[in-house]
Amino acid sequence: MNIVDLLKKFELTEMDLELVRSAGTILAPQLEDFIDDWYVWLEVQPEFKQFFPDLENFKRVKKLQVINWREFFEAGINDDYIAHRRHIGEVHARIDLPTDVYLAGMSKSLQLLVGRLKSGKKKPNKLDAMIEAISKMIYFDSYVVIDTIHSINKDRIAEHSKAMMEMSTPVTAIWEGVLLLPLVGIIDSQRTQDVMNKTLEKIAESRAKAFVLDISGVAAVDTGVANHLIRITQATKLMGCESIISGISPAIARTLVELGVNVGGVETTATLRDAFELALEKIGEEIGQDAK
Amino acid sequence: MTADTVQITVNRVNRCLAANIQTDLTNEVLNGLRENLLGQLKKETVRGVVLDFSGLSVMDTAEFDAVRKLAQMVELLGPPCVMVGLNAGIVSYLVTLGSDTSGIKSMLGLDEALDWFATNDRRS
Repeated sequence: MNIVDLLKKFELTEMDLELVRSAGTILAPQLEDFIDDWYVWLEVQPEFKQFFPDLENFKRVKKLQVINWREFFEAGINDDYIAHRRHIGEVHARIDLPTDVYLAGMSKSLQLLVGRLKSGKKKPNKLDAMIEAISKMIYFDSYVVIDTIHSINKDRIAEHSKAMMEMSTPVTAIWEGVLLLPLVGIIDSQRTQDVMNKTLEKIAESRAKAFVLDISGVAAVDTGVANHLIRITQATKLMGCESIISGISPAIARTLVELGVNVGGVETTATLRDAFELALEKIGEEIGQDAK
Repeated sequence: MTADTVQITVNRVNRCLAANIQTDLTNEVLNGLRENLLGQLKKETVRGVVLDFSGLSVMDTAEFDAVRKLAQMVELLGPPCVMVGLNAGIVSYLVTLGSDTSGIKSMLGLDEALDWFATNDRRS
């Protein structure tokens, strides 16, 4: 969203900005004191110690805050201004500041600034309109900062889930002729393809006759996922390796039945233990130990 | 190239028949194999038939369908028919394209298939 639209959305008119500037002329000499007052509030918050473990940093942040508020009262909202606010958001996101602390802090600032305006020796004209303008502007500022924090966090989550998806699919031999693949996370067609290719390669390489696919770590099973899984079992069967799907929870069993998924000839068990037993039985039979 | 040069040989191993498929399955090749294989089955009784694809690196769905039909024909004549040595690429391709794989018995290799035939011989 561009700045003009944003200002319109927050109903920040040129008149409001003018009022903020005139408030600025009154408050400019008091900004240092205002910040000190504000830290009186912050110091008693439980988060204070976490975010200001050393004095050096504390002093630096305090100085930056004065600069930020000075900029605020200059009320020149342009790309630079927004960029500075976004930077504040980035810093806060980096230190993982909870948004409640940030918003409470902004609310406290508003309260302190209004208090200073009201208790000044010379009452400014249009005090009410001035307060209104300042609060609108503070909301605007907070929006930009919070929005930045939010989008950074969103990127972070997206990155994590991508990493999860890309995590290798560890097909391991747990017995002579038995392969195990514990599936974890989210399954989509791309991942199924990876899983299938890896499994088939491993089957060809290890000449396994049984393959246990453990899905107890799969987040959600719907028709799509079920079909993907069935496809994998079909493929292994074509290679001459029987598949067993283990880790079917009661919830998954219910979904599968209610969705009308036809699991066909795929053997399924509730626990990995049962699947392993079944797999051993299979290879036992195949090598003719307990053939009739 | 004449039909004779690309003919698929059918070997007799341990009272089983094994066809080693190493060329693209054109209609010509398939017809030859079908005649050869079914003809052999008519002449003698075997424990089973193995179609070995380990020498093949690509197979399309039409070829696979034809092979599946051939396997069905063999089973109609009595002995079980097993496909062996399908490689990972072929399998992944076929399944992704949704080929019908029902009714097919597959095994890893010739060894496994011959063992299986030996232990599951209906007549012994």
